[in-house]
Amino acid sequence: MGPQFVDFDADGHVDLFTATFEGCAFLVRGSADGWKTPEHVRDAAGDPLRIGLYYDLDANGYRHVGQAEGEDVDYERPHCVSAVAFDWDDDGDHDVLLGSKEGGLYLRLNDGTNGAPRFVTSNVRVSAGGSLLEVEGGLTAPKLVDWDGDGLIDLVCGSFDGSVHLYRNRGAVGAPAFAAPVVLVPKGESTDAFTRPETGAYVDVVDLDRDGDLDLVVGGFRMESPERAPLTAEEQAELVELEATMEATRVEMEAFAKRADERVAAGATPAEAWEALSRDEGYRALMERSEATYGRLEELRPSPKRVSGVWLYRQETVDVSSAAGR
Amino acid sequence: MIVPSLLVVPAAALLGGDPADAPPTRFADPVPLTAGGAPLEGLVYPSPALVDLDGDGRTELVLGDLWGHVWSASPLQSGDVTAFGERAQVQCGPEPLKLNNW
Repeated sequence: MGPQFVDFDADGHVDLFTATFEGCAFLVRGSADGWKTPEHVRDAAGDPLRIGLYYDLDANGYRHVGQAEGEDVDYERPHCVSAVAFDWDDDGDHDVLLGSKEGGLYLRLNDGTNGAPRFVTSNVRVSAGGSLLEVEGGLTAPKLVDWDGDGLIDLVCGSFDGSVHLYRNRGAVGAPAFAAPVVLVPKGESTDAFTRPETGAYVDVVDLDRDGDLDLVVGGFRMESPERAPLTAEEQAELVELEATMEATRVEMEAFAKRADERVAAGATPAEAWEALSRDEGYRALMERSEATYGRLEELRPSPKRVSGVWLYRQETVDVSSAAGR
Repeated sequence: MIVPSLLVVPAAALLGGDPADAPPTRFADPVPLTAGGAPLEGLVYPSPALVDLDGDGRTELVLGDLWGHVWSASPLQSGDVTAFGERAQVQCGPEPLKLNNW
């Protein structure tokens, strides 16, 4: 997600601006009464800000921007998972940078104002170091910060491989030009002890210890396989039976899914088809059986679990007292 | 490159993004943040933001997660910048704030 706190609509209240794996940019307006209901940020044509792949909640499935009726979803399209507001062209309003899961960064200029934004309808991919910016390992979310105190906003990007990268701005105010990346945190490696983010690095940049330089706060996770005592002969037999049950359940679920597809083919919307499925007593009973079976399977043969954490990387570089905050 | 107690990135030598005379960017070994005395283990894809949400001059820890929830934790008075109070979901009216995901 990578939330950014900024007065996006210039009403005097700090807002929350971000994007999720849905593939679209969101605004949560702040107010004197607290946070308002999240809303999509839309472009001049009324479409949510997104790059390529997105999840259509109404259709309960992925689509890509510009997908024609009957056309297959192109899962290779870039998938927006982060968004930050930034006055790219120094015209006094917030433009938007959209980060893609695949590693690219895309600019949406705002031809309006903060109070009445008018975002253009096309994305322009951002470059760095003379080629398209592409965060190795995939981009989680960019953070904007004047890292080196030169008056220009730099980019600090986390990666799904656990690394963090700095892109210095070597351009000018209103005309950013990012240099090739510098690795601030190398990619994660699996170790015995969970002492750092190994994957999924989301970063913020802040002088947390207030010593005059910028530190990194990095969230991430790793997969851990829970330890379990060896199974008894009885448990082993039960495990075999449960696995057979799960396989039979899978086959039954496929049959229900096929029935939903048939409803769609007959003219129902995907949402209507799934709604009908959720009301089907047979389907609901199957889901209950599946959950119970899965629960017991997890007890006998626990699957790897995601364990997360958030870490402070305190900067100890000598003589960077000129570094400024956000 | 790892040296005792410090992570050193020879920035100028890596990819050309740092000026030649810049000192290498160094970070101490990472220290886990805690909330309510425990590591922040339970969130999926925690994405941190450090911000003074309530305007009291102190920096809160805000965390987004994969499911579209947002959490916050207040700093403790102890002076330990890595220690925060219990995390709680940010509210949108009477309900927890939730952004669509998939």
